[in-house]
Order: sequence, then C-alpha cells, then structure tokens
Amino acid sequence: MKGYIGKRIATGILTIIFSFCFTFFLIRYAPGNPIKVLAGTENPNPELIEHLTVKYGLDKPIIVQFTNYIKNILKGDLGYSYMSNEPVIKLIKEKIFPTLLLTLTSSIISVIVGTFLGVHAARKVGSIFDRIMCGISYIIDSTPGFWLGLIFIIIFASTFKILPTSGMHDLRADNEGFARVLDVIRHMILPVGTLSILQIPLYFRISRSSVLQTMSEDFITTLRATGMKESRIFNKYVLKNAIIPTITMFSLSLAFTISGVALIEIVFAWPGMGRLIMEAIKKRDYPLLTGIYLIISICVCVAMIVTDIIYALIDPRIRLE
Amino acid sequence: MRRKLSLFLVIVLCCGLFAGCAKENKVNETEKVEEANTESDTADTPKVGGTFVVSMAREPQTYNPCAQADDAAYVIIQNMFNKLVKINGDDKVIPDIAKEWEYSDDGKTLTFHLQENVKWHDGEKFSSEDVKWTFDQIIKEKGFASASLAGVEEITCPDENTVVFKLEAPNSGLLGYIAWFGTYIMPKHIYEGTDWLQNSANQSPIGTGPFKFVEHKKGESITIERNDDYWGHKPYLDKIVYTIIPDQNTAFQGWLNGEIDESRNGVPLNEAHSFDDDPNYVVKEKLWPNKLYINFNLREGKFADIKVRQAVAYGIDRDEIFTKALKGIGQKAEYFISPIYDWAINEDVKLPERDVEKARALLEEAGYKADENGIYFSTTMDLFPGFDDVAEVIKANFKDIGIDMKINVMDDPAYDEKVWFGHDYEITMIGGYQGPDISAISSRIESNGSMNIGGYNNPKIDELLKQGLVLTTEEERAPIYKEIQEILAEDLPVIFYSEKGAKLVVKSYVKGHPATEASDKASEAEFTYVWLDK
Repeated sequence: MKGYIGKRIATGILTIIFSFCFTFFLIRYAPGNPIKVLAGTENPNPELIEHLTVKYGLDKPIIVQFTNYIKNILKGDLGYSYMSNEPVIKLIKEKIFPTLLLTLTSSIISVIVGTFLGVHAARKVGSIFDRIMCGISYIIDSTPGFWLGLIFIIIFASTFKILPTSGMHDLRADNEGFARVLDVIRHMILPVGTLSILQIPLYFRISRSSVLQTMSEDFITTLRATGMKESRIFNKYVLKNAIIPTITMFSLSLAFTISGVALIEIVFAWPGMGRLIMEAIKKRDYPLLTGIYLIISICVCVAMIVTDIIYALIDPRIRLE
Repeated sequence: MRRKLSLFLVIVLCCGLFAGCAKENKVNETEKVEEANTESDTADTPKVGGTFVVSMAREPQTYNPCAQADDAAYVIIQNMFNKLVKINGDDKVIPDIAKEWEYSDDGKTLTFHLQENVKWHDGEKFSSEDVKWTFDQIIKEKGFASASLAGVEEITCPDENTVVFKLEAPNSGLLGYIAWFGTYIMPKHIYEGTDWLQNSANQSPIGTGPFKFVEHKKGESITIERNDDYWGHKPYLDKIVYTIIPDQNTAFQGWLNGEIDESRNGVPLNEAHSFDDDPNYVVKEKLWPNKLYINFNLREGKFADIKVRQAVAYGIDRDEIFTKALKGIGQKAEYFISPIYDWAINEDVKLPERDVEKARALLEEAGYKADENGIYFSTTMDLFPGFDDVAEVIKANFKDIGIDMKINVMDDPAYDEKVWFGHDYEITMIGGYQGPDISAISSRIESNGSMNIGGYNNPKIDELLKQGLVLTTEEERAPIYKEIQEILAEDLPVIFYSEKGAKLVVKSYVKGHPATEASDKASEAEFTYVWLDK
C-alpha cells in the first residue's frame, strides 16, 4: 500500500511540473501582448509600452523569465497581476469561497439527485418513468448552459419576480449576520439550480447503466436462484458494486470545482474563478494565469491521488497490482 | 473535452460581449454650476438620498486615473476625481477644478485659475502643487496622456490657485487633450516618492470629486458615497453601487425588473427602439465625434491600389450597413469628417453613392479578371469582435462587386499583435473617439499618427494638420480642414461608413442624468446631479 501511494504521489508531482511548464510557455507564446493591452490601442503611447515592458521583465528572453518565475514560486511568491498590480495569491484567494459555494453545492446536489433518479430508473427499466427520464437527460445534455440560465432569469426574476437576477448580494440592503446568509442563499438558487440541472443527467446515466450492468451479472442471477428477496439483493449487493463509477465521476468533478464554471458565472454575474480566468486570458495577464493554472493543477492532482487511495481501500485488487 | 469546449465557447462569447466598447474611450463631461440648486426650473425639487445601482460589463483593475487606460475604472473615476477642464455631454470643454483659463497672446502660455477651498477626500488641502505634480508625473512616468502633452515645456505654480503651462508652440488641440482622458488631478501628498503603479491608493483612491471611494468587492461591486465636503455642487445621492454584470442580457433583465437603476451595459441593439414611446423611460439619441470606417493596408497588397479602394467606396452600401447592421443607431456617414464639426464640413466632398457597375469597372481597370463566378479576387478582413453584423453586410456587398471576402475575428490582444502593431493584414475596420477637437483626426491620418495603422503617408496632409493645430478660430481653421477632406476623398486611405451613436435609455425616475437634464454640466458618467424621483 505504501509503495502504491508513493507511486501515485510521484506521478502527481510530475504531472504538476509538466502541466506548469506547458502552460507557462503556451500562454506566453500565444499571440498578443499584455503591455499593449494595458497601454490601450486608442492612443497607444510607445514610451509607456517600453517603460512597462522593462518594468515587468518582458524584454528578457522567455527562458530567463521562466527561471525568474521558478525562483519566485520557490519562495512562495506568485507575483503581481499586470491588470491590477495586486498579488496574484490575493486575487485567487478572494475567488475561492464564492467559487466553491457555487460548484461544490451543485456537485453535491447533482450527485445525490442524479444517482437517486438513475437507480430508481434502473430498477424500473423500460417503465414510463425510465423512458421519460432518459429523454429529458438527452434534452438537457444538448441545452447550452448560458441559455438555460437566461431562461431561468426571465422566468423567475423578470416574470414572477421571486428571485434576484444575478450577483451574490442585495446591493441596496446592507444585510448583516443571518440575513446576509439568507440573502446569499437566495442569490444562489438560480445559478446552483442551473448547474445542478446541467449535471444531474451525467450522474443519472452513469448510475442507471452501472446498476443495469451489475444486475445482469452472474452472481446476481445466482443470488436470485437462492431465493433471496429482490430488495435485499438490490440494497446489499447491486448498489455496492454499482457505485464505483459514480465515485469516479464525482471525484473528477470535485477536482475541477476550484476552476469554476465560467459560462454560468458570467450569466449570473457570480464572482467566481471562471470569470477571473477569462478576464486574465483576455488581458494576457501572464502572472495571474500561470498562478491560477498552477493552483488548479495542484488541486486536480491532489484529488486524483485521494481518489486512487479511496479506490485502493474499496477494492483491494487495485493496490495489489 | 466538455470543459475545453465550454472554455472555448466562453472565450468566443466574452469577446463578443466586451467587443463593442473595446476600442471606444468615450468621453463627455460637464460644468460645475455652483448655483445649480437654485436653478431647478421644474416644479419638483430634487430629493436628497438614495442608493443608485449602476451595472457595468467590465471590472475596474486600478483606480490610478492617469497611469494606464482603464475604461471600466474611468466611469467611476469621473465621480471621484476632477480634471482641470472636462468634456460635457455636448462634447464641449467646460470648467472643472479650473474655474477659468486663458491663453497668452502668442498662444504659448496657458494659465488655469483653480477653485479655492478644495480638499482631498482624506482632508488634506488641495493646491496648484498637486496639479503641477500630476502633469509632471504623467510626462515623467509616461502616463497615458504623456504623448499628447509632449508640447508642454514647463508647468509652474505662481500661487496656490494658479497653474501655468508653457508650450513650445501654440497648440489648439492641447486643451481638448487635458479635458479628455488620463489627466485627473492626483494627490501629490499620497503618491510623491512612491511607485505610482503600485501605490496602495490605486485600490482605495483619494480624489477631490463629488463622491468618495468606499469599497470594491472583487468580481461583484464597487461602492462610492457622497462627499459632504465637496467644493462644487453637492451630490444628491447617498451612494452609488456599481455592480459588475458581464452578460448584457442579464444586465438588461435586471434593469428591466428594477434591480438596476442605470445600465452601462447598454440596451441590446434589438431592443433599442422598444422604449421610444414608453413614459417610464427617457430616450436620448447621442452622436459622438466617432466615425466608423474600413481601413486598408496601404503599404502592400491589393488595397494599396487606389482603383481598388475606389471600387470599395462605390461597392459598399452605407444605407444597408446603417439600417440592417447598426439598426439605425447613429448616422450614415456622408462626409469625410464628423458632422459634429459642422463648421468644417466640406459640402463638395461627399462619399460616393453605391454603383456596382462602376465598382466592377474600376476593378477591371486595376487589372483584375473575373473568374466564371464573376469574382475578381479574394481577401480576408481581420477584425476584433464587435463588427460582426457590419462585416456580414460588407461581405455581401463585396460579393456583388466581385470580391470574395472572408471574415477573421480575433480577440483583442491577438488582433492588436497581427493588425494594430504587426500591420499584417489587407483590410480591417476600426472606429473610436475623434475629438473633442477636430485636430484629433490627425492620429488617424497623419503619417506618424498612433492610429494610422494603414500607413497612410501624404506630406500635404501632415502639413495641413500642423497648420490646423496652431490656428485658433473656426474661420481660420475651416479652409484647412476642408482641404484635408478633398485630399482624403482623392486618396481614400480609409472609407467611412457610419457615425457612431447610441440610444441612451434612462429611467424616467432618474432625474439630473448626465445624458438628459444635466448633459450641459456633467460628464458622460458623472452622477453629481442625479436624484431619484420615486
């Protein structure tokens, strides 16, 4: 088991280093120049451009920029954003709570609701419920998220006026304490609802098909032959075996919660990481982008390692390989 | 893959969303009428108080008002800082913190007389030293406006309420640039001796303006409150909350259902005409000195040939562009100069009416042979987002005259690298503020103009532009700019198709709005005179 975990951690670190180097050079070789974005094109001032280029060290060869950056991150310094001149780490920290509030809540809701519906449909495979749910899941799959979000805004905010259009807080009221929490929850309903509706079909189909597959296995037939009650077979043997793909799916989605969901954040004006990434790309804010990518890749790797360990605990065959 | 795909979609969408304003540094401003409180001629007297919620698409990054161009911060900055002079809603230069100014007889000295008893938001006293420090700093640290201030030799402060600019040569464009962008007076006592790009005041600004900074919640909102010690007209609003809503449709819904009082995201073009007869809204049509135009690479390629450019001039359908792509907002371009400078318009030089046969004949003359589909040649129009509908109309127009045009839309940084700075293109489209003074067109047509991306070079134009800059009266200047128009019509370095305008829709309970009642005394996004009638 120790060797198994050690191997996973080593692979994880390698992955982080590789993805870091890759993104570092990729974004710097992409067309566009952050200083020219800063200086503006309306009345670009060549002197300002030169001044800032030297100030941010962009006149140096890219390999020198790379080694400087490495030196700084080893000291725990992710640098300053070009856009706002604020520390990158501060900009990222500010987004973590709202991002997780949105993505984590919707991931948990979708895994619970989706799995429940999937298992239910699989038990009654071929029934009207099953067929309707399958149909709906494909319709939702082909629905663009930003469109769905806007439709919800038009229905619940503009027509019935029961929920706020966007944002995270009521800007006219200075709510404190519990009222503030309630206010945030009210603002969360539409974006979390939209995200959950978009993700539920994934969990629905995975749990449905994996339950169906398990139910057709030989050992279930054997259990049936012993005369065991159908509900006992299902609860004790089918569910346990059918849950593994759902765990994989869920941990994968957890790994990416930190990166936010740009489209939904944009539609609902939610102050999340996705929007920060988009803004940084648009402005070619190299230090901010590199910092975000680094943190995302670390989160993804940590989540992967944890998932692998959970697998090994659930299924001894994996760690014995 | 899903995630990659949605990321890509987001990039494309974002570009679309922000495009419209990407290259528009709009500016308008207003005059401080001290006795404004007594002049309310309507029956209803202004109500003090209330929170004004304003939506905006982009997030300010820094509140340093002079170092870099930040259009998103700019709309907030104009409520917190003052300039010497500013531009009002009618694109006229009016007093701000300088109550009056005068040129010396030789035109080489510009003297500003400042307001007295002005205090910074932190209580420090404001003086002419702040003005001198600000402009010295802009010039020294290469701030946004430093190129426009290049002709300033020295700035002095004879006393604490007077500032004198000594110029190398008379310059009638200078006042306009001082009134325009990146010239807000900054607090010397806070910035002196620090790196002005990294001073913490860039995130919690101290100004002299009608509102004071309260807080900026990243990704969410910015709050400013009334400055009770304001030297000028006291604002009515308790506070203004700017909420950042990247999606125009979301902002529009929030604005319709009353969560937002003022939308800086703008009304979607398709809805622009639906408020015309609604008593709950006041609609103001606005035209800026901002011509939209097709720009050619004149250094090389197919459009370096004047015959081909003439063919384009005859080939495009400006009516169709205006009515279909721009939904009739703004104005169809008729002349080579903005109609705002009506005193300088040369009536004899008009853009040609559409003539497909003539356009095809010109292409034949240029030596092109039509293939079996009637196409002479193919080209690619490189664009930054925001011109999509116009580009489609032009593409169809071009097909009629036998030019097969592809449209290549890039995000701003990629566009800037390829076209703006790299000059690696054949044909593109741009626009942007061409004011407040008529001389501002020089940056687009002068041989070394910063926005002359096509590389147009005509010594006669350069010469005339220089003359236009040193003269002061409209009578003296008009003939020069009329001649410039004649040359432009001959050379066709660019082809204008529309005058940029907007339908500004204001809720009728919002009184004293800079687009409506206060347009003569407030700058474009300044809410000093706004009060809420509800």
